[in-house]
Amino acid sequence: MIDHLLVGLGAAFSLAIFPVLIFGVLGGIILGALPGLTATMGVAILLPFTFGMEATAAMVMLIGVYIGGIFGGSISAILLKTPGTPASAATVLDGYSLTEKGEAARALSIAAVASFVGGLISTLVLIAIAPMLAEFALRFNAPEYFALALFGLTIIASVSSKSILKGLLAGTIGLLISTVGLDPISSVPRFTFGVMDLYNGINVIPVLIGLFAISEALNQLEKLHSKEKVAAKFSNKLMSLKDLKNILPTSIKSALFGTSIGAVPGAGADISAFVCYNEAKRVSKNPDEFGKGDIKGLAAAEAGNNGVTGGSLVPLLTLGVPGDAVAAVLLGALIVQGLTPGPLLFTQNPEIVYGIFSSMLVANIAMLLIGLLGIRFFCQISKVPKSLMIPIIIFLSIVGAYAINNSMFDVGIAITFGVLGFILNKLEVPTSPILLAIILGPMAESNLRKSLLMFEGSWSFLYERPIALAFILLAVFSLWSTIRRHRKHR
Amino acid sequence: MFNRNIVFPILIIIISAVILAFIPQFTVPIYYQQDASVGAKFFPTVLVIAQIIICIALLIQHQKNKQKIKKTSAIFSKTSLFGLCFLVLYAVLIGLLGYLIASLISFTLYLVYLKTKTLSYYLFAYSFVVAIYYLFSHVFIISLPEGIIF
Repeated sequence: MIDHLLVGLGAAFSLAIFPVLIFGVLGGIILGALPGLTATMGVAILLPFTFGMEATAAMVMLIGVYIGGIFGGSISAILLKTPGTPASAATVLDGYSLTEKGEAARALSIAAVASFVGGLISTLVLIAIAPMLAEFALRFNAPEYFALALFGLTIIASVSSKSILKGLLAGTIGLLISTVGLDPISSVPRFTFGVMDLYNGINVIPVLIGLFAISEALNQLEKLHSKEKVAAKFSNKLMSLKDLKNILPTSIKSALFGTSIGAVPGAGADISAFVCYNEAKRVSKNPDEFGKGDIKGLAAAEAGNNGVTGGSLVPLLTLGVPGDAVAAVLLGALIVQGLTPGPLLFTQNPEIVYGIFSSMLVANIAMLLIGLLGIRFFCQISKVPKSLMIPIIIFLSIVGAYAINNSMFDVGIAITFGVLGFILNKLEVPTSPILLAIILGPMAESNLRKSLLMFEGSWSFLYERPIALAFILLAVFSLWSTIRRHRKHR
Repeated sequence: MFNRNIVFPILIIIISAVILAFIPQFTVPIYYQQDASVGAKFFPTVLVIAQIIICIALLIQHQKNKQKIKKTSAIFSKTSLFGLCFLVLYAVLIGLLGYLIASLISFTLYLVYLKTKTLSYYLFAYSFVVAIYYLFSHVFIISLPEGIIF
């Protein structure tokens, strides 16, 4: 294995592959930073460029885009409160608070380092124990997925900073929105009112753009004319060694969580970021600081979402099963190159597999370097006058919402949720639970119903399946500790 | 003056009641009514009932904490209403004129509304709009909204 890895590393630094890798990472960061353009879209956009390439170079470029794209989303999340991708939605919570305090450079450097730790550990785990992880992930069936979604939903209580009740209300609104469209088991149209665009349900990306970007633009517009203007503060200071010491344990833990979540087919970087954020908050000595610019919260979200990058490749490379949308596009890329993902790939084409592993290591280093070196450039965005930044956010949001499906309907959804987010902010109702519920709602409902079908209407799957039971106990514990914490601080 | 802590939960309760009235109208196929699983109506029904319970709890909580309530400003100020109109106007214009022209017009209108006289702001705005147009349509080959007229 070591020999293959060394050969792969040699290839990754070769003149034929290294520039492609850098191009991929840089392209991924740019695409990820633009609202509406996800890492999946980035990989899909660049896929046709790889058709004429040699197999290793093609995969290296796409993986570079994937890793860069997940990190890129955090740049706009931190600087503009506009997550470039759903994976960065949890980054907003503490990242933007740091920018408001004038510490954008510090926040970006923490995000880059945490993403690097997340990606690196995830890759190392992928290299070391990919087949074992795949076996564990394959034990997941409907009851386990339902329990995982339930555990994810308990995070709603954790991200409801001021009022758990208002957070729960936002969560139920999100869950209800997730039921719009054809129901996942019997295809019964629900709340579609004959509108064809609603049959597929409500896409999470326009919702994300509306709730975070458009509502923030309206909020900023109001502040332009308000008397309580915030003094523009800006510091070029990056993270300190003390910061690094503080975030490292959280980043490593989140990276391991992220890798495990990524290995489970269907659970992506967005879910992982929220789960890791919640866990970091739960074990923190100062949970009240979360959401107000806590560096551990930022690091947990970033290491959690980049931790998925290696994890999602586990089922793809070992079993030929794509774990998420990006892995599905990568599967397509492998097939185009005439390769069949699965156990045979390790024996028949080790140069490709270890080329991918090595390039992931190098891509993470490249992401860290580009992320750190680019901070001064990225921070220029914070210096753009607010009066100019507001329409820029609105234009990017509208274009991003349109680009997902080339549909003006999605633009309407983004605007609707922008207004809803603005109103909810005024009512002090948190908006993150809505997004979390829209992501997890379909997973919870379809797997609950599948489980009931599997167990002939019995709810015994909740305690008969060890992994499901473990997640349910975790959910109860998470909810209990959050409620206890809230009561203590009241 | 309406108290938003009372109006908002009541509004949600009314909306939930309307949704609850809609749920029985889902056309569930007969063969699905016979299996052991919960149906398409189950999840929305549970959620709507939960929503009503949470809103009632919010109303009770508000009654209990009446003294602690701080003074709040109106939800929509003049500027945020302008922002809302700007959003809707931009979405309509983009449908009629396409991304490039609609964005150039909207950015100009916005800067004029804010009484901006700095020429560099206008130049920056136009450069940004054109740069995004170029990046999406020529580099990423992602189609931008095309208008009905142009």
